[in-house]
Formats: sequence, C-alpha cells, structure tokens
Amino acid sequence: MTLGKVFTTARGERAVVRLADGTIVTLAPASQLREAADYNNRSRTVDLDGEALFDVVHDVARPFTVRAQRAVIRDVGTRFVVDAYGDRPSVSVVVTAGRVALSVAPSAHAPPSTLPTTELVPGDRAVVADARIRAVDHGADTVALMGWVDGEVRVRDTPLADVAASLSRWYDVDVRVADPALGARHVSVSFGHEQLDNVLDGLAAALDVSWERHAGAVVLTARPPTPLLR
Amino acid sequence: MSPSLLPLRRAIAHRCHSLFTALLLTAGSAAWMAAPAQDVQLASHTPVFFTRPRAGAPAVDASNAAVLAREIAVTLDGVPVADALEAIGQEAGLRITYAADALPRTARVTIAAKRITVAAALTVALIGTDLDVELLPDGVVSLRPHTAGLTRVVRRRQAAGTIAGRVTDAVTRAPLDQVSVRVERLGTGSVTGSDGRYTIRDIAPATYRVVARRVGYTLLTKTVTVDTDSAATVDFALAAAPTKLNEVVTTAVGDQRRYEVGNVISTINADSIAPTAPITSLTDLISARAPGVTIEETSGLTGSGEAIRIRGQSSLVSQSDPIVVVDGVRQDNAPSGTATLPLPIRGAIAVPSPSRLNDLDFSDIQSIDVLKGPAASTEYGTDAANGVIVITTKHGTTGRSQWQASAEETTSEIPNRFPTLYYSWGHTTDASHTAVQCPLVPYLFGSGYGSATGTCAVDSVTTWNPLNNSHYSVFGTGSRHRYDLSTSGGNDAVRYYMSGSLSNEIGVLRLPDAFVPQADSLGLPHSVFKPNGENQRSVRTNTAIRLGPASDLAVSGAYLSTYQDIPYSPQAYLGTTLTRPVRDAATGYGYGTLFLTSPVAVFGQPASQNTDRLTGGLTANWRPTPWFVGHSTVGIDHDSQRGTASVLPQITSLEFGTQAQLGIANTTTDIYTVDLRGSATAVLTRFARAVTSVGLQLADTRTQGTTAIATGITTTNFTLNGAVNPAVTQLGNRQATLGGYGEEQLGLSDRLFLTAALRMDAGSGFGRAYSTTVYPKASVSWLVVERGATTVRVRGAFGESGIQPPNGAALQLYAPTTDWLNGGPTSTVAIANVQDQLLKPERSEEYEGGVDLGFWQNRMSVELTGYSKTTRDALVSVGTGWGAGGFPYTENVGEVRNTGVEGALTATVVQARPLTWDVTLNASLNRNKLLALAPGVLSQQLRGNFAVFRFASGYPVYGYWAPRVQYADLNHDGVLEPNEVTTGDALSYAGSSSPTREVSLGTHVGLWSGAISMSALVDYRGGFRLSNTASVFEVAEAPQSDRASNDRTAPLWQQARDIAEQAIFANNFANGPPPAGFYEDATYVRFRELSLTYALPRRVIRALRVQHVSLTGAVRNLALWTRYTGVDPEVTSSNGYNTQLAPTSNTYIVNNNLRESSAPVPLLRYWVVRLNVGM
Repeated sequence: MTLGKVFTTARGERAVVRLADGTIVTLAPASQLREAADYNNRSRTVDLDGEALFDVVHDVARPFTVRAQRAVIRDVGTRFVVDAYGDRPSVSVVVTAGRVALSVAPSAHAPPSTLPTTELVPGDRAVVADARIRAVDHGADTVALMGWVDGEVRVRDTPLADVAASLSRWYDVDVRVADPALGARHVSVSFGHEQLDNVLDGLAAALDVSWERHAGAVVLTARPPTPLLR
Repeated sequence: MSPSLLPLRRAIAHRCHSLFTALLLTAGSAAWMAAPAQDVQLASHTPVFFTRPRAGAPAVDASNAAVLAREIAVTLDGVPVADALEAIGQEAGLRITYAADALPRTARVTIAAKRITVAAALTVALIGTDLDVELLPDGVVSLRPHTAGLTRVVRRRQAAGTIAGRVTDAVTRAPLDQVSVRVERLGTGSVTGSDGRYTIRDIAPATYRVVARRVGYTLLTKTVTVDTDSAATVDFALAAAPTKLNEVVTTAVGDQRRYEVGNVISTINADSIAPTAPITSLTDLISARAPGVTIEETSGLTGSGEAIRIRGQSSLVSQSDPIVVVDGVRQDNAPSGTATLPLPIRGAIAVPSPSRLNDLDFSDIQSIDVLKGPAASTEYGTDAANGVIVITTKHGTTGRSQWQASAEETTSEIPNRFPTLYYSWGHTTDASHTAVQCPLVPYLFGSGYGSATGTCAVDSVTTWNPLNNSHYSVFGTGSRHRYDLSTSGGNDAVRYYMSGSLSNEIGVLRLPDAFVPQADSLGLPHSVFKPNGENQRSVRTNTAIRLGPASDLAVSGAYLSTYQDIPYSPQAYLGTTLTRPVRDAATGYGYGTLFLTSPVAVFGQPASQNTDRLTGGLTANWRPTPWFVGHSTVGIDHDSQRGTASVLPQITSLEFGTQAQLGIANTTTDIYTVDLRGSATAVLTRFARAVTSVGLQLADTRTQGTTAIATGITTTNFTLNGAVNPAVTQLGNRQATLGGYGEEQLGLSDRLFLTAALRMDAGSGFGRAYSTTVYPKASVSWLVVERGATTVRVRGAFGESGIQPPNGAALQLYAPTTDWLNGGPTSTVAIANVQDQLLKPERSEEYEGGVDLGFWQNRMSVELTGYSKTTRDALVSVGTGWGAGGFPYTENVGEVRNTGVEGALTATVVQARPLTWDVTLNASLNRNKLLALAPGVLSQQLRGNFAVFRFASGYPVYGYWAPRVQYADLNHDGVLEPNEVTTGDALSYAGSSSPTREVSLGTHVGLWSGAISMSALVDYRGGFRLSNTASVFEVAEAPQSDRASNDRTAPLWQQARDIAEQAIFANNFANGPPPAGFYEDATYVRFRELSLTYALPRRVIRALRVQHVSLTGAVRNLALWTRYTGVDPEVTSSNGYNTQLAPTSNTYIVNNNLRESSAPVPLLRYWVVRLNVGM
C-alpha cells in the first residue's frame, strides 16, 4: 500500500486531526497515523502506531478501517480508541459508541475482508496479542481509558513498565524501570497536569522503591527509598 | 457484627461530619466477615496520614491537612477497594497511586454519605489494608505499605512546632491584616490580624514552604524549618499588585481596604496631582476629580469662596456643604455667604466670603477621600448627610531625611471678553428731532422711544464695554508667588513630616488707569489701586512616635494664616453699574450714575479679613492583642478672625449721602473633636472573620465675637476710638453633637463583607422633647472575581444620616422692642423665635449599589454606582404670620430626593518605557426632585436679585420659574415689536439651576521614562440653566445696553425676552419675575487644566547631588466653550439676600443656594511656572 498523509505527534504532545471524510482522530502522544494513498476514494484505511481516538463518519460504501499491528478494526460508524504502541506486545480497542468489527490478520498484508471478525459494542475492551484476540472485557471503564483525550491518563492495575512508557510519552521524558521484576509489578495511578516529579514520588512511595535522574532520563530502581523515620 | 469493629466504626463516624451526614457504614461487610484472620489484622491498623515536607525528609503527621479535611459526597455499594479509591480520588481531586497487589482483592467497600471528609472516606476504604497514606504535592496521594513506627509520628503530634511572623506592605511597611498564610502540603494556615501578625500552631517539625497571599498583593513563598523548641519566624513584605480595590480608604471606623467597604469612595491622590497641576486652592484639587462632587464657584476674585455639593442639593434651607475632617479632626468649613465681616454697611448685600477649606495648604495633603452621602457617612453622625471630605495629610516615611522644595510664579488674567454693550443714538421722529437714546422698542425706564415702533430714528449704534478696554477696565493681570519647603523622614521609633509654605497673590482687580488721577486727587491710599489679594502662610508638623510594640502616637499641628483683601461688595457693582456705559457731557466715558460714579468709589470701600488658625490633633493607636485596635483622637481647630470693612472718608464726596464708616469684627471659632473607637476582630472559622467596632464622637463648635461699627470716621483718626455712637454687637454660638456607633462587619473568605451599623446622636439643636436620633446602616461588598488580571466586585449599601437644625431654632427667643402698652410706647421684650420642642434633624437615607471592574491586567478599572438619596423632615423656617412675616419658627417639613448614577474609569492605555498614557473619565447624572412640602403647601417662591426660584413638588429644589414667552415676527421685518410678543401670567418651570450632567476627562502622558509628562483635564457640565442677571439689568435699567434691545440682527429669542421683561416691569416692578429667556442654557465645556513637566535626566541630577528636579509649565482655565451669552456659566454666585417671600402664610428664609449670575467675575486663567526640587 502506498502512503497518503501522515500525522505524527511527538512525546508530550497531543493532536486532533480531521480527515478528508470528516472523521476526527485524536492522537495521543508519540503516535502516528498514516492514511492509505487512496483514502476517501474507494476505501478509508489508516495505519496506526500508538494510541488514538476515532470519531468516524459512517459510510456504508466505504468502511473505515484501522490497522494497528496485527489488529484490523473496521467501524460501522462509531467512536473508539485504539491503543497500539509499538513498545507493547498487545493492541487494545475500546469502544464507546456504535459498533466495531475486530479481526486479526495472520500476516501484515492479508486482505482484511477475508478475516473472521469479532464484533465489539460500547463498553467493550478487546486486547489483541500474539495474533489473536486474548480477551474481551464487556464492562470496561471506558471513561478512564479515554481520560487522556481530556488531559488525564488513568491507569489501573497495569505493569509499571507500561506505566513508565506512558509517562515517557506524556511528559516527554525517558522513564525507565531498572529491574524487570519491578517493571512487572502492577500499579494504579493517574496523572495529567501534575509535575512528573510528584507523580514519580507517588509511584515510588506506593512501591516502596526510589527513582533518580540519569542523563535526562528517569530510572525507577528497586533500591529502597529514604527512610520515612529518622 | 464483630465487636472489635465497633470502636473503629465509632471513630469513623466521629470523623464524618455529623449534622448533614447520612453515613451508612457497612464497611468490610461480607468480605471482612468471611476472613476473620484478616479481620483481626485490619482492626489493628487504620491508615496513617503523613507527609514529608521535602523529598526525602522524615515523615510528619498530616491528618490535619486541608485536602483531607475537605468534605465530599460518596456513594459506594459493595464495590472493590480499587473502585472505591477511584471514586474517592475523582471526587476529592486526588491522584491516588498504589501498587495493585497491595489491595485485598476480595474486600468490598460500602459508603453512603452526602458529606464525608476525604480522610474518613479513605480510612473506610483502606481499613482492610496494610497501607498508609502519604500526601505529596499536586494532589498526588501515595498508598504505601505500612512502616513500623509511623503510628508514633502521629502520637508525637503534641510535640509540634509553631510558625509565626508578621506581614507588612513592602513599600509602606504598614502591617497587613487579612493575609492568608498557609503551609504548603499541609494546607493548614492562619490569617493575620490588624498588627500584621499570624501564628500557625501544631506543625510537625520539618522544613516547609509557607505561602502568604492577600487580595491586591502578589503572593510570596518562603521556606522555613520548624522544630519543637521555638517558634519559627517567617516575615513577609508583600508587594502591592496593581488593583485599585486594594487601596486604603479612610472612614469613620478607621482605615479600610476599598473592597471591604460596601459603598463607593472617591479618592483624590493629592500628593501626585499638586506638584505639577495648576492648582491654586484646595478646592481646585477636588474640582472635576470625583464623580458626583461639584465645586460651585462664586467668583473669579482672588479669595472667593466655593460651595461644595455632593450628589445634588438635598436640603431646602439647611447647610448643604459636606463636613470636613483632617486627620480625624473636624474643621471649620463655614460655607460661603456666612462671612464674619462686619455688619452690612450698604444694606443686605452679601460679601464674597472665602472658604475656610482653602486655608489648608494643599501641598501638605496626601489624599482626599470623599464619602458621598448617608450610605457612606452614617458613622459620622448628624451633620454628615451631605457627605464627608476626609483629608489625610502627609506623614513621614522611614529613612533618611527627604527635602522637597518648590517655587512657583503665576500670572492670572480674565480669560474672556465681557459681553459687548450697545447704545443707540437717535432723534425723535416728531418735528422736534430731539436727540434721544433710540433702542428698538420703547422702554419704561429708558427714553421711552423706539425705532421699531417708529417713535425715533437711529442715527448710529455704538458698542463698548469698559471692561474690555485696558484703559478703563477694572481687570488687569494678577500674580502669585508661592514657595514650599518640606522635609520628612524618620526611623522605626519616630517619623516626621514638616513643611512650610507661603504664597502672595495679587488679584486681577485694579483701579483703571483712567481713574488714577481721580484717586490721587482724592488722596486715596495706594493700597486701593490693587484692592484684591491674598497672602497665605502655613506651617505644619506631623510626628508619629512608636511607643512600643503595641502602641503609637501621632501628633499633628498646623498654623495657617490667611490674609485677604476684597473690596467691599464689589460684585454687586461690577456686574451691573460698572458695565453700563454712560457717554454724556457731564461725566464723559464713565461707569454709570445709579449708585456710584466711579470705580474709585467702589475701591474706596476696602474690606479685609485676617484669619489665624491653629489646628491639630493627638492620635493614639493601641493594639494590646492581635485582635483589638483602640484608637483615640483629640483635636482642636481654632481660628481667630479679624475682619474690617470701611467706607473711606475720601470717597464720601463722590456720592450724595455717603458717610465714612469703619467696622471691625473679631471672632473666634473653636471646634473640639473627640473621637474614641475600638475594633475587635474575631476569627470565627478559617473562612469567616467578624470585626466589631464601637466609637464615640464629640464635635463641639463654639463661636464668639464682637462687632463694632461707627460712622463719621476721619482720615486723621481712622479708628473706632473716639467715634460717635459706635454700634457694638456681641455674638456667641455653640453647636455640638455627641454620638456613638456600633458596627459589625462579617468577612467571609476575604471575599464577601457584610456590614451593619447603628449610629445614635444627641444634638444641641434638637428640640427639648426630642432627645436622640438613631441612624441605621448596612452594606455588602462581594469580590466576585479576583485573579491577577481581572477583578469584579459587586456592592450595595444603605445608610442614614442627618443635618442638625440651625442654632437656636429649637429655642424660644426674645427680642427687645418698643410697643404700645397702656396707651404709650414702652420698652418691652417680644417673642422673636417660636419654639418647636419636637424639632429633630433632617434625615437623609440613601440606597447605593454598584459594581467595580478591573480588567486588562487591572490596567483598566471601572466603577459604576447608582444611588437614591431621600431627605425627610427637611428643615424649613416658617413664618407664623404674626406681624409682617415675622416670628418665624423652624419646622421639619419637606422631602427631597436625589437619584443618579456615577461612573469612573481609569485606564493605563500604554505602559512602556518610552511612553505611558493614562486616561481618567468621571461622569455623573443627578436628578433632583422635591417630593413634598408641608401639608397643604403646593409651592414656595424665592427671589434672588433678578431670578425667581420655587420649591414645587415634582420639580428640582431651587429650580428656575418664569413666565413663558411666545413670539412671532408677524411683519417679517426681523425685529420684534411689543405686539409680536405675548408674555404669560403664570410661572412655569424653566430649568434646574444646578448641573444635572457632569463629565470630566483627564489624561496623563509620560515620555521617555517620565522625563517629559503632560496632563490635561477637560470638564463638561450640562443639563442646567443660569439666570443671566446682568442682562436683565442691562434691559431693565437705562440706558438699555443689551444687544437685543439695540441690534436689529440680534436673535429673536433675545429680542423677545427683552420685550417680555419690559412688559413684566411695566406691570409689576417690584415682583416682576424675569421671563424664561433669561434663564439660559449654561451647558459648558472647560479646558480646566493643562500642564507640561520636564524632569532633569538622572546623570544631571547626580551631578547636582539632588534626587529630583523638574520644571512645570501649566495653565488653568485655558478655554471655555458654551452657548451661554453671559460671562461665565460656572460662576453661579448669588447676592441673594435672605429672602422672605410669598405666599405670605409661610415665609422661608433661605441660605445661599440661589444660583444666578449677577456678579460676573469669570474664573481667572492662571499661567503657572513651577520648579520642584527633591533632595
């Protein structure tokens, strides 16, 4: 597929893009949306790296298709979020309105129309990993999952490594976790306009670990924090 | 339910707010019950709330933190702990962070509460866990595994430290109250008291950041380390943010911030205006600078007095001027018209009397606050119904001595030409061809011939006014020299301000060159050649002494000396006789013959007034505790006046029957002021403060004096000694009010201020059966928006105040008389004044509301105010009808209402180093209406010299009333003949005699960092009429010299009024009211002030070793635009003698509120050059 327009956000940046057909895409930080060359001509296909909210203008003749990693999401006139950052092995699709047909392509270039599909309805959150649909949560907290659109990221029960990636994108600072075991611990946290230091203090305190700056990057380490008591 | 949970539940229930809380605690419920092993552990641990003042610092207790004390609504029905935390976090605006594995997966939380503190909600949610709560900045909350020993930190709370300090203004160093001081992270804090001090207790030892903030100031943050041994001290010096609302205004209860006060107060920053503006007197400082405040000029003569009217005329006959308070001490503000000059020599013609207000040296004044009416002035009590002018003089600031010196040279002149006068030369059309004055129509008091009616033919018309001719005019140029020197400085213990000034002014009045030979030949002293002048001296010292940490003392004193020369009653002659030309063989070019033959005769009646005044006060402030301020002022204003008036023996030959006379009046006036007050501040909650103020005031005015007058004085013995039959009069007067007030102000969050007050007064002028009067007051001020760039305030106020009855009005007075008793004349005593035992003060109530806006980084501020002021029980002097209008008594009848709107806009349009540009716009509208007179009385009529005023229900008080005139040029000859003019019999309303619309526009431009600055002030007054009394004279008296009675091209309305006046005169000479046409539209625009100042550059100043040098050139009254055909529409003096008028059943004796222009000495134009040096 040849490429059409490309929309990119840097870390720490969000963007609202209006496509030719009127579809509105809100791009999360560090995301890229690529239009197919013939976008809005015969079909409407975009590729996504990163996370985006789609408000799709419905058109039966030209279905709207998002390809993110192996996931192929076809709308039927809807509002949904695709979370497909390359640093994560999974793609998540959250639907807040309308209906979405989700399928998984066995290879990057399989024609989408031939694939078996799973239909998602509002409130569903599907996770695609390892070339298959791993889970569909029918009662997802869509408000929290879409909080980033309004400037607030709410992460619940998520590995610290993923949170670090989120923080990196949100604050445009490299946030790393030094210890894989620590990175695997699940945390709940939310952030938006807070200073990064305060968010990190909160995380470190909750996990009883510490963080430090190294050459412009932030590293969370399992080293115990300064004692609370003297 | 497990018994072990009960105490905990109670504890939780206790933390939840009791009154409105419906808290349903089934916390733990099934999950906890099902896991008894865990249950034991749960019950043993409740979360500890703590914070670390800095990253890495040891933990301190945070259970009192403000974020935790907030109340939220939470409804959770058996949800997982994670969901509960999410909900609480959302509701409380907290970022709750935790490790997912730290939460018990099976626990469920149930809370149903409309109001529950965040701490309680978190406690309930976390009871199943081993988690503590750490507060971090930005609302980040971290749930962390319990640390052994942390609980002890909470227990150790008793061993907490204290933060205390003082907050001051960075510039003035005055203590600031109402400053919110908060400890960051903890959110706990305190508010400063009136001494600027605050204390925050129960702070766990650690290092904190402390933030001080106050409305109108930029916030300031400081770091402090708290330990348990001693109180940590953090002092703040806050810099004022540029918002007008923060200014301090002076009211009866003390200095308050503008936004606490629910009524508008106009402030004039005199110290920034006076150095460069063309100011000649204190009233010049006020004029056109405060919306709703009108200075009524009575004459352009040097030393003439002014009346001040605020928000219209509310009294019928009582004093209508505001009271004046200088540094807390009541001042003599005798309005013009109550001169203490000797008894009238030539009948009841008023003497232009100076305003005592203008004794004050305007260069000593820091600021003037104008309280505009009862809504603002209730606490000042009786006498304050017309408003209060609160003057604050300069006080020293800490630092090394600063010297200010200035020198000023001024030239004054009459700015405009006087109306041209006409004379028609002609001859009769009968066979005699006698030469006669030949105006357009015949006049009764003229030649009786008229060209338009064909009885005479005009040969020529000449125009002339001696006042426009430099050889004949009594007006030349005047001059003034003025020198000021002041010094100020001090240290923490003593601050001082000392100043001295002197000014010598010679007025424009002069003996015309043409008459100098005559004066010389009569042997008149040369002092009468420049008969008008004023010399003023002023010395002031203000000292403030700090007696200790809790008290200070201020001593202020001034010696003011004013010497004025004003030729006796020049106005009556200047306006009339002098302006009529006479061109006959007998007297040559002259000034008419009706009263006096020559200006020499006017100037040969010199009068002078010498006032020595000592005024001062002792003010003590006492602050024994942070919540109480005590204040006392004891002051006196003593003035001693010596007035003389004379008819010089040299001029007796000029007029038949004139006798040499000398009158001397010595009077002293003492005003004693005692002002005691105290304010206590109670902090009710963190957001509410109550200030209770009580005060007691005494104002006691005592006047006494003697007047002696004698005739037959000779040039060799020009004294009263040896005079034949000197008439001596003694006068004594005392008037006092004693009253007190209580005021309660509730301040909420430093945003909303509710004030209520009661003032109670006893007055010496009240009737015997009327003891005290009570005035209520209430106001609200709400600061709706207060951000850095924008301020919005809404305010409303209601208040009452009064005016005391004139002295002696409530008494029964007797007068010696000669009466027929038992068939022969007998010396006896008759009742002179009838007593009214129930006489009470006039009572004015005022409603006021408005909004103040500050926007555009507070560079633009707008004040909009509406008011409605109603005066009831208006005092009126009523004749009993016994005798010929005699035996008056004073009665409370009448109701007057003033309604209006005022607006003030100030804007800093450009604010850059090379250019600053400020604009000030003041505007006001006032509608005056008499609502009611005494029952059964429809209207009362008053007469000035040649103007008729009425009090009529539904119309403005002192409105002009006149017969309507209809005219039509039937024969189209361009000239009105008597048969083309119809004059009505009835009088109808002809217009307001005071301005109803006022707009003033001021601007200030600074160039090159203020090296050059330019200021201008333009003033508009409109919506009123002025009786052109001089024109009435010109028509009524021979020879008719008005333009319309001589010039065929004069506008028809002027011709019509002349003919109508003639018709009225012919019918009823004595009471002929001038027709409507003489009440001319007096709307005008005046270019009041223009000044240009050059400040020497800094390097030159350094070389000269001074701090500031500037040179100012300025002009006052540069231009006037008006359609008024008289001399000056702003000069509305009245020579109105106290007038007794029809209907005869009631007789009113009026004060000096009859506005007409029979004394047209226009306001002078002053050219000023001034050098200011600061060292």
